[in-house]
Amino acid sequence: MSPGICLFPGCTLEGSAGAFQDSLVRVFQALGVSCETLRDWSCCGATSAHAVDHDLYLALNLRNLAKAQEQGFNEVLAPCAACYHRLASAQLELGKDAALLTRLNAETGLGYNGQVAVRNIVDFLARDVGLDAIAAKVASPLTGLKAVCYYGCLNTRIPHSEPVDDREYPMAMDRIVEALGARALDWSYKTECCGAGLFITNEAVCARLVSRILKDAIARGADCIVVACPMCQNNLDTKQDTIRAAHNLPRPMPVVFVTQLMGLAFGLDESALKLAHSFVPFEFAVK
Amino acid sequence: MGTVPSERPTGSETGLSPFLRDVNMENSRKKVGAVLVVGGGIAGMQAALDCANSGFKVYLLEQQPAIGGNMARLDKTFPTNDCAMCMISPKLVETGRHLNIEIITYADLRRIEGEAGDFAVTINKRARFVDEEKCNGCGDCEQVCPVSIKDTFNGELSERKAIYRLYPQAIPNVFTIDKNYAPPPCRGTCPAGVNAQGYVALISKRKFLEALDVVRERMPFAGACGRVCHHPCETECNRAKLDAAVSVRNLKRFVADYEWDLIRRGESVERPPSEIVPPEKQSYTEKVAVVGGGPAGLTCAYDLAKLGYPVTVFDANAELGGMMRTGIPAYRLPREVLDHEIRLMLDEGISVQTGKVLGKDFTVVQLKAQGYESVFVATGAQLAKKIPLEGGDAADVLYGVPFLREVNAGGKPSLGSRVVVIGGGNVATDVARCARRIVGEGAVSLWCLESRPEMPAHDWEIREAEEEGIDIHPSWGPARVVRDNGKVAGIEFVRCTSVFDEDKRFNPVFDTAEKQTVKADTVILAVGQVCDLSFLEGQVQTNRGLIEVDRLTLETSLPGVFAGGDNVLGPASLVEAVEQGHRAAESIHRCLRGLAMREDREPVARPKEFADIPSWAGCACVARNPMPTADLAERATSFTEIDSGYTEEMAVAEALRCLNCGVCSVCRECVRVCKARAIDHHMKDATRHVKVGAIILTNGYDVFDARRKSEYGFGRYPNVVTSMQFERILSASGPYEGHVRRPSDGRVPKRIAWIQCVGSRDVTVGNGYCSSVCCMYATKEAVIAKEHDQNIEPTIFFIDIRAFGKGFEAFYNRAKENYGVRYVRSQISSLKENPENGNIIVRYVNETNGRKQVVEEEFDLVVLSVGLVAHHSIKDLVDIAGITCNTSGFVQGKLPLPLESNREGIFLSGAVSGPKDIPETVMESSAAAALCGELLSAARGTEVRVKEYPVERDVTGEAPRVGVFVCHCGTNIASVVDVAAVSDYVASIPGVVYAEHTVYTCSQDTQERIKEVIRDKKLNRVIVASCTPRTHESLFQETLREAGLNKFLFEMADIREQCSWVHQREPGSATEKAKALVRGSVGKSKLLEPLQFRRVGVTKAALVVGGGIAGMTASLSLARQGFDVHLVERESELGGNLRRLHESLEGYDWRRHLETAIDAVASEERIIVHLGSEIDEVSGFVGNFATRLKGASNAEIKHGVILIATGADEFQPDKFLFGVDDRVLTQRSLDEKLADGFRADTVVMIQCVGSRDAERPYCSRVCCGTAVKNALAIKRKNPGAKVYILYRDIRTYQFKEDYYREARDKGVMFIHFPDDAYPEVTSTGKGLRVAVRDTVLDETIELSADYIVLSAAVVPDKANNRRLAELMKVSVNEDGFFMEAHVKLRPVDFANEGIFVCGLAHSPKYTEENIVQALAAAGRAACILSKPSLEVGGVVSHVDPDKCATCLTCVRECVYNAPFVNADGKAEIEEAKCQGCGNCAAACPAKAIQLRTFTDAQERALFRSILHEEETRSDHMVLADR
Repeated sequence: MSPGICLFPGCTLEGSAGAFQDSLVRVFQALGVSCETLRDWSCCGATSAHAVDHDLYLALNLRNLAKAQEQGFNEVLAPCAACYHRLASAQLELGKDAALLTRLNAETGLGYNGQVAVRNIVDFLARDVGLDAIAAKVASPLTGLKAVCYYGCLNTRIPHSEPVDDREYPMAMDRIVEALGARALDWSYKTECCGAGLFITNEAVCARLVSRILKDAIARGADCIVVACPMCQNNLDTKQDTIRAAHNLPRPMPVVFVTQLMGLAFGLDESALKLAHSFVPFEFAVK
Repeated sequence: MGTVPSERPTGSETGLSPFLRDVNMENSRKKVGAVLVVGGGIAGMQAALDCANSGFKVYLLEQQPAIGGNMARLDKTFPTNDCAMCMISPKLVETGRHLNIEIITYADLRRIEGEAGDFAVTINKRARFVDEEKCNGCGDCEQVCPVSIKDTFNGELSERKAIYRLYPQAIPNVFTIDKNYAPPPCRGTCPAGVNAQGYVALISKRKFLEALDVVRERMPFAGACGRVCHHPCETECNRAKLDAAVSVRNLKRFVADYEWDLIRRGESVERPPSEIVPPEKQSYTEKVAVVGGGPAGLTCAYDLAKLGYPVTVFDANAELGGMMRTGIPAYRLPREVLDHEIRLMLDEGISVQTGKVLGKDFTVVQLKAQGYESVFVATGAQLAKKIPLEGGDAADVLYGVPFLREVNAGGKPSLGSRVVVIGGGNVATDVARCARRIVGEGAVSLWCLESRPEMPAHDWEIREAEEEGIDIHPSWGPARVVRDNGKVAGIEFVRCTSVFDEDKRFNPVFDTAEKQTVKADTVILAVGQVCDLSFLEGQVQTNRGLIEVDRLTLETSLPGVFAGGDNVLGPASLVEAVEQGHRAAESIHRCLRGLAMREDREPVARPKEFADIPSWAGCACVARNPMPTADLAERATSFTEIDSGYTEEMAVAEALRCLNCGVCSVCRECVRVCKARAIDHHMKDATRHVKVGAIILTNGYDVFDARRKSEYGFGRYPNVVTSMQFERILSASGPYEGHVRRPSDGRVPKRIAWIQCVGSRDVTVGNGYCSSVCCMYATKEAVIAKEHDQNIEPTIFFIDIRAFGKGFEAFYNRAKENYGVRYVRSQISSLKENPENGNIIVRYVNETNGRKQVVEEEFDLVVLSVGLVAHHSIKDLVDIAGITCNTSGFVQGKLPLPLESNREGIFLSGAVSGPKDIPETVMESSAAAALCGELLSAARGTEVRVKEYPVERDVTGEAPRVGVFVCHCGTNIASVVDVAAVSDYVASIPGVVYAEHTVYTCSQDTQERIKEVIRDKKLNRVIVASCTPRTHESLFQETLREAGLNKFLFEMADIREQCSWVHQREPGSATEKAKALVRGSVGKSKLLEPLQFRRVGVTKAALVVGGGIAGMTASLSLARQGFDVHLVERESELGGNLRRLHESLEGYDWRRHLETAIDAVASEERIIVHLGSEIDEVSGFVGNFATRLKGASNAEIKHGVILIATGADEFQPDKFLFGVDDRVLTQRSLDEKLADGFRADTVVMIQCVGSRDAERPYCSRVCCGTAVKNALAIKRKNPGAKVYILYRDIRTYQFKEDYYREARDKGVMFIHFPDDAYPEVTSTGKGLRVAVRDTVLDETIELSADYIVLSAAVVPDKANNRRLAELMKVSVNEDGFFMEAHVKLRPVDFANEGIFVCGLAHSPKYTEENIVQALAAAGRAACILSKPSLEVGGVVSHVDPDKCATCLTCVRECVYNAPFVNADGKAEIEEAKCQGCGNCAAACPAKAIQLRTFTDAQERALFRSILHEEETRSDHMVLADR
């Protein structure tokens, strides 16, 4: 296995998306992936910093990347899609603009070399860990489970970057799900916006966007939606009762993290995977 | 990314051709009068025809099996909605028949050496596995081919066979076999080379006996192998990647059993008739001995016996079969199967001597002494391998091989009640299972060293053994046999921890601490077999217990003695033994015939590569058909067969699971039915070398792969199709036979959406350019769909509608107004599918009730208007041809002439240099032909062939002697129409002196036969009853000419399309109809008359009207091609509009170009310039015109052709304060100002001034590009300047799009206003103000401007054009531009032959396009001027002056202006102009006009003879009618 990867948890994994963090850590343990949490990390600036003050947002991430460099890592894994998007975008900008890097290093008093790669969780699992290694760890194949993989708007769309998967119709998470023995269904809403950014501020718009995603998943006959983004999970899961009623949806749709599904197939302790933390219960009898 | 426009071209990169080249110096070098045209699409065909028709030999190279290119796939063409196939088909035929065009299809360009004028070209002609010379295109092979794959020609919406013709009208009309580059895994892995895909494919079509023949080609033991083979074919089967492998072995068994069942029931096993001629059986005298009657020996004997050798098989046993008999238990291989198969083999004439033991009864050397000239030793591995085992060497310890031999011979060895079998291989499982059948359940256990996964026995053997109740104990090694009173009492085992060491060598390691003793009264050791080679007595060399042989030939150390099978390989499988037998037979044959022993032979080896899983193989899982087996309880106690075999239905279902990875399955059904014997599965690629003087690249384009825009779901949503697929959906020859259906459920779609710019104008996929054609083809598709079904509601989602070509804007308007096509200006970002009904959901911005909002709408079908991308073959051209490509992958043409590549002598035409439509492509081809003519004029006529014919026999006064040839067309006609009956019937008609029926009347040998009959029977009329005259009439007419008969004494009856095809189910009536049709032809033929052609000379001079850049370019080209030119210009100087233009959008210097051109014209002695003069009068016809000038010159000019290049002008607007305020300019005056240092801070440009309005409904094409050019120029001078371009649609097509993007990047503001709300311009004290309705903001905004620039229309000089049109009898359209003969395929010709048009006189165009069109006109003109004379006459109209009333009906009716009133006041037809259309004959009220060969009398005779049998029989009645 690789020398290890540096985990950037961000505010979500240590907060509302604890299930993501816990399942991820356990799955990594099962796979023998060594993973160390970045010490002294700071906010990635996802919510407002990048929109309000571009330099501030760059500086925040320069600090995070510099910390990773200090701690001896050349790669940072950001499971949260928003963190990934901000860190990767900042890295892209800093990495190709030496003058900018020099200026921000000077202003912040840091010494970032511009060389730390930022990775997302799906790509890391599919490519670095590998589908064969994942399949080899499957103790109870999820035979019979039909899932739709929801990548959301952020994970595949870092502007101006070399895409790590098809931006509009990615497949990496589908392949992981297939490696677990489940069936990943074709559907239309893989990368559609779920409106998580408006979760608090504009509930109606948010509900409409979520309802379309849920509706297609239901119509395709999916048993669950698999995600790799804390906001997506939160947004698709939390208010389902009201959205279902308002948009006339026939049944609830569980929303699980890909790492939770992996843990289940690996035969890990279900309580540690925190499946019960979701609002919509996910029940799948693992043989 | 698109081309980067910001780099300005420098002088050295731009070709100033054709003006700067020193043609005379070039002409002094040696030139080859031949041209290579690469690509057989419309561009290639036009280039080939123009080159060939102007005196050059042409090689036309095409990658596909047929010419026709993408145009052959289109349904209709815009803007006239002509059927693409109807237009292209005559071109196909003309190209295919041209004496001086050699079509080389299915071929790739490999190398171009040499230089302009003298190139050496290497071509690789791929094997098509069908002999083009012999194939008649009858299609019998296609009928029987069992392999269906997705038809790429139809966009994979339908299927085609592995042997196929690209499309029904394909030229050459021959078939091609599609084979994969590598063998399918099943065939590749079989040691004996048995063609599994072949027989599986045949089984899928219920051709069971034919399938068995395929098996038997390499496997004489089909039934045995079908039962016991270890089937490596299944292990590697690609289907396993989807669900499970095809049950190849069971299918093989099925066909063997099928035949055997028929035999046992006494039914016929006769195969259908076959054209495959088995090699004649020889009778050689050299005797061959085969020692050993196992699979290897018998196979060898059988092969040699079939070749004709006297073979004797010696075997030690009483019965033949070897290990198949003595080693394999009967429950796996019933003896009667074996007996049957051996009997069939022996029937080939093999002598057998059983009970003869080598080494005891005879030796190898003795055999040689007895006159056996060659010996094959295949004695097998008959001995059991022994291992040192304490207590194991006594006689009561049994061994596997002899045990099985005894059991299989019907013996019943005495076994105890506790049997322990030791060994993990297949012999051990066989032994255990046999023992279990003898002693019963629970008494047998099996022990082996290997762990369970390591056991060498096949999984299914182990599984079945377990099912039968045998306990298996892996990882135990025997330590000693425990004896009690000397008798076996048990056996002690120790734990085996590993069997193989790191090098995978057998090296078992035991843990002696772990041991157990098992009670047993019988121990059977089955731990291997070895060969008994004692009989060799040292006569043949051995090595480690095996006979030493040459692995390729199997020859031993003793010459003439061969060995194979287990005694060479060690214990091996049945298929491996059979392979050895074939190999030995081949060697013995070669040896005895003195042939090279090693040539063309391969050792058994796994191929490097297998055919991959086909791209179209979906994952529709179909479970493997399980083999029905006998009940477990029953089977475990008897030796009757376990597997009972597939039923027919199971076999067919299983065979249909095959993915046909190899495409062609080499089943040879095509060979069986091909009466022309054209098929050759052993064909190899061939290399051609040709010498040419010039090369035209017309590689064409590919369509964008819509899968790359994954947001549209193409390939996932069945109801999202590409525009090319939709063309096929519309086409009558397409997947749905012209009915508009959607792929998911075949339902007729109502709401259809087109999404524009898929893969075009999109830098994210690397295609920044505009594909130029999509707006119009989408419009056409929408209109045609609507014509197919009025209920269809088409919607086109677009960014800009780019209707910039001639007639396009009117077409677009018609689509909106007459057809109700809805256009929505909204670029669609993604498509969603409604999972309930398969509909596609489109989200877009729409204006409803004056408010813009996002709406979602469902469509039944969505068509992606995919762009055109560089053809895949272009990449290789960079190395092969040394040309360069632009960043979009198209070949880079020089400025200003995109027809020239950077390598001299290599020209470009069509989409090879960028996306373009058909007329432009056709123009470029004619222009490229002109450039070839310039380069090679010295060699014109040196490589072409002129056919010489014998003098025609004078048949006047002869009574009709009719010969009739009735064609079978393979089985196309003969399977329905009784051709013999037709022939017999026809022979009885009076006047018919000869009738016969031939398999293919069009074949070369039949042509010779027809000539012979014409001579022998003194025929003076010939009739062929076969297919359509459209494709075949001229072929037969040619044959008549070669036989010295006038070609108009030929008549054709179509009994295929009109009889066998349409009346397939009524053979009786079809035959009667065929008789009637032929009878009609006979009736007509008696009235046929020989027609003669007249030759008229050609004046080798051209008249060019108009001295602008188009006229000058055409003049220069014609002069350089060796023709005289009169250039007439009404103004006092040359140059026209170009005098006021400075540079092109691309930065090319027009000023310098113009100066150079004027100098070149002046110094060209073949050009006479008539300035200040106009055309006064024109007379004559093609080849022989006479024109009088007026003005400064009133010369009388004689010339062969006319080129009209009278140009157009810029519109002078009457709005927007133009002419009132001098800060309001047109683009042309801005262009001039820019050259003189214009500077402004704010400029507003208004597009479509005077274009696209009620008065001038056409688009002026150049204004958008000009506005972008001038905007960029302003920005270059003053980057801070504000430039606004107010537009309706920005029409920067092709690579001009890159400049539009650059302009946006540089801050030029583009504001879209509605079609019906033009901006308003006012002048205030402070300056100019413009109010414009911005459709994006949905608000009116006000701009102030220093200058306002109007993009004014291009307008023709209507009065002058009309005057010229009348003088020359050509037409102008309603806009005042000259109207060409056909907008698509004849863009520079007029219907009147010998007159051509180019430049702005034809339609608005950019200067470089005018130059191309001028060259095209020159190229077309050269086709006439290069001929020494023109043939006139033949099938033309003729006026009977006595009947003519001089009513002028014919004069008005004829579009070619052929009729005129002569000096006698009667109508007369100018034969040189007559095209034989017959319009005048039909229109003439006095019936004074007759079209020759279609005279009233002839046609009446035809119909009367068809309708009334007696008419034909009483000749006088018909004759009386004349």
